[in-house]
Amino acid sequence: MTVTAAAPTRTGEVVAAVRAALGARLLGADEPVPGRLYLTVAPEATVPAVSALYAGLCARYVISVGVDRRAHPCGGFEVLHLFALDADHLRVAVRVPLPAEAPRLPSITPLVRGAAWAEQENRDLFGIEPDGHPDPRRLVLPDGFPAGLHPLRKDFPYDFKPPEDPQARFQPKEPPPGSTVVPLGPFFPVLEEPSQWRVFADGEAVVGADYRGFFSHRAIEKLGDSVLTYNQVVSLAERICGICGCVHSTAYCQAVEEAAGLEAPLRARLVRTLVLELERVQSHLLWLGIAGHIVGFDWVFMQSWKLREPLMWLAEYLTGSRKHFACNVVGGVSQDVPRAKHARALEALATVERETLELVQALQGDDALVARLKGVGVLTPDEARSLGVVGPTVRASGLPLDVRRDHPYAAYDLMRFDVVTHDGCDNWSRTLVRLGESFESVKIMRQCLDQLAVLPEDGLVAEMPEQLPALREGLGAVEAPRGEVFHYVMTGVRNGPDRWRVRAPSYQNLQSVPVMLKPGSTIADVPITLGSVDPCFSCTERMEVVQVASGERRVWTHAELLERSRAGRAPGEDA
Amino acid sequence: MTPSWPAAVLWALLGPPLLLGLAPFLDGLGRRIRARLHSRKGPPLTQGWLDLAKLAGKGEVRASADPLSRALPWVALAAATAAGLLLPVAGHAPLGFAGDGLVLLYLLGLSCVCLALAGLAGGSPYGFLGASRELLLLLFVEPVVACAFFVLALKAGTFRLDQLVLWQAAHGPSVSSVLAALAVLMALLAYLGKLPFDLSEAEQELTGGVLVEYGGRSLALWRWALFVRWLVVAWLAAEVFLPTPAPLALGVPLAVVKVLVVFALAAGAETLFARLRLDQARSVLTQVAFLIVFAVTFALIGA
Repeated sequence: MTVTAAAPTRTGEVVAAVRAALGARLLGADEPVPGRLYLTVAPEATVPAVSALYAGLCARYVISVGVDRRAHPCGGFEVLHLFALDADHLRVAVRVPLPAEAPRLPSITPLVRGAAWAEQENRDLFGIEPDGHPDPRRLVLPDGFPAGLHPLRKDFPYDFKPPEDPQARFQPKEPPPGSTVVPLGPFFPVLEEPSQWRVFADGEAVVGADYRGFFSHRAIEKLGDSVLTYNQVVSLAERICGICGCVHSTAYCQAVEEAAGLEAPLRARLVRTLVLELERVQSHLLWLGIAGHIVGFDWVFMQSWKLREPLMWLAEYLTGSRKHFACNVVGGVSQDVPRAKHARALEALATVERETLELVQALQGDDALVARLKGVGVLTPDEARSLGVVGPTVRASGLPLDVRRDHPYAAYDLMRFDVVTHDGCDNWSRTLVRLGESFESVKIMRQCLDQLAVLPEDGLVAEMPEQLPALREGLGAVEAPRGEVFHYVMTGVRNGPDRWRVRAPSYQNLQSVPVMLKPGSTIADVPITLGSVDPCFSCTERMEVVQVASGERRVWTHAELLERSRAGRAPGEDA
Repeated sequence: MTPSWPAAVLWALLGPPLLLGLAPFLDGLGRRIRARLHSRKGPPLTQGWLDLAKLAGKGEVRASADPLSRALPWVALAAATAAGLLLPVAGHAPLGFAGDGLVLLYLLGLSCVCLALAGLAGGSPYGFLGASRELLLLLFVEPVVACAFFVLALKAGTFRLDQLVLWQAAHGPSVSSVLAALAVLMALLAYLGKLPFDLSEAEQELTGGVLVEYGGRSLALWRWALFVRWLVVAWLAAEVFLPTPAPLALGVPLAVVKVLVVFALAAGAETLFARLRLDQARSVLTQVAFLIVFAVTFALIGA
């Protein structure tokens, strides 16, 4: 992986600034690889340290990671508040070591709003209490999960299912007086995914909202950091998302490569760049269709999905699958894009580019559509920064944040492209950003093919050593279609990660939706505003049948659903 | 023209089965047109009938035990069908009487009010919002159509539908009647309850809105009432506001073609727009209201 090193003086400045604020409470500063700075601070100094970075140096909040180090020497718990200084290509972690018994630290949410979920999650999964957090409710754990048990702790077996209290109920937020609750979900009507919004409405006017998600938490991190090996996790990471899985496997591989000191060969990095951009364009076209459907404009839905098909064909032609490309391995890629395939790939790109341009021109002249999107769902640049939103959501608020340019990975340091921004801060700007950057993606894909054509067709993987040293850390980030995907990996003593933390872009972006529903919004604006961040909830393959007469319930298995869904097809048709 | 008793009895007997039997065709036609504009193949033209048959065979979960809410879909269907019986064909309305135009408007309004009441009866917030949207849009659309009637009635000196048509056929179009027809066409999508004005049932915003609590046979009745309503409104626009003088033998097939063309144009226009927000729908319909005020003014000064 390419890491563009931060200027050493800048690293020094950051350390000096934090030391000035903390004095002796700054316990250590470590720069294991260029561009990565880990600052160890005492728990009581968490807020001043974060304040020095976030307020003083204008760092961007990324995520907070809880770690259980109790099994390791001098171990207890640990919380890492991760920040990025994007202009300086520098990532800074505030490491807060905590005792093994009753770990607690001051909440940073009053300072950084976007840290709310991460701190709630650390409380649920590790039992690390954020003192002064505004929301005492659970975020991830089911309502009936026994108190005092924290599944991501290392002494919690990955397959342990404690008995749940069937009486326990979630405490929803009380609606403001005079308003009624309009529920969207728990099975979201438009996106057909598990997510519940309780919109507080006074007639048509929206006066507030409460979100509840994590209905189908799949415990992917637990599986990855307790059972699977480094290369098995790659397949699991790819399955985090059904639309942009490759960004997760790439980010994970990059994190492990950083921890192991590996660098993927150039050819592998070009292949990664190519498939990542392919994934971006198909995701943006998919989003455009859904956005059209949300505002009742099904013509857009059908046309954008129709012109997305050549891209899906191209994905299958290059990787063997329309989705879940499965081309990443730690150290490189498993599949090449040989020269023989370039001509048809370029042809498909030309088709998609031409047809997308026609669609975009038609949409830009559509006054009724623009009227539905313009000035709706406003997120100001200040709000965007404090919530830590990423991707098109932040770029539509005028902030030119793009991991591809700010923290180059894969082969993006060799690519020429523009970071598309708009400053309308609304749903229309978010649409324009996605459409604009689709064309940039096509440009990048062409550059990848140009460079792949002149490179020798070998050297796809950098050999991984038999055993990685334990307790090394790696940070991997990819600019996914929805924004920065971030993976934290700490190597373990077994042949797999000891801690693997995934932060998908929707984790930050979803937190901004209640803020976007400004006074003056109506019920009609809610679905499209939520849709405008292109949220990605985890999907679920589960169906429960209830016989009304007898009250009998039965959950259908995956195999039964599959058989049922294929029943109408001729034999061999699905081959 | 005085209606003859045999024709009236024949139409009273044959009219309801004809209206009820043929109306579902419009659903298949509209969906086929939409599909073609979407670059899809689309369902068969019989899809409207197939859907009704499928829904009628399904079980039902009732949100409300209130007998009124069970009666509402029947009332809506009956009101829309009764409205259809008053429509003139080529200047002939076998069941026509003085003021039948006003009765027709009220019957159409009644089917909308039933729908709104149905939304309220279920007790769901989606239903409440859908009902309030339905009634608000009705308050904007109905005066437009009523004023358009008023314009024609002023010119012809009667509220009888068949005589309005015959008067227009005899005297040709005037400034006010053209403006009135234009206003009715502009409000047509809203009167049909189609996109971009289908706010009361907005699937993506209110998961079905007014009809969210209905399923099975009740939903089939609601759908059927909607199909009949489409037929009646398209017929009204085609025959009363866009009259074509022709003898009865030619007039009947001509009327059928005109109704299908009007409905097909509406179904095509529906695919061109994003759904309006309530405030946007209101401002579009306010502009139509201005147009109809002009039409009334012209009619009053005799133009």
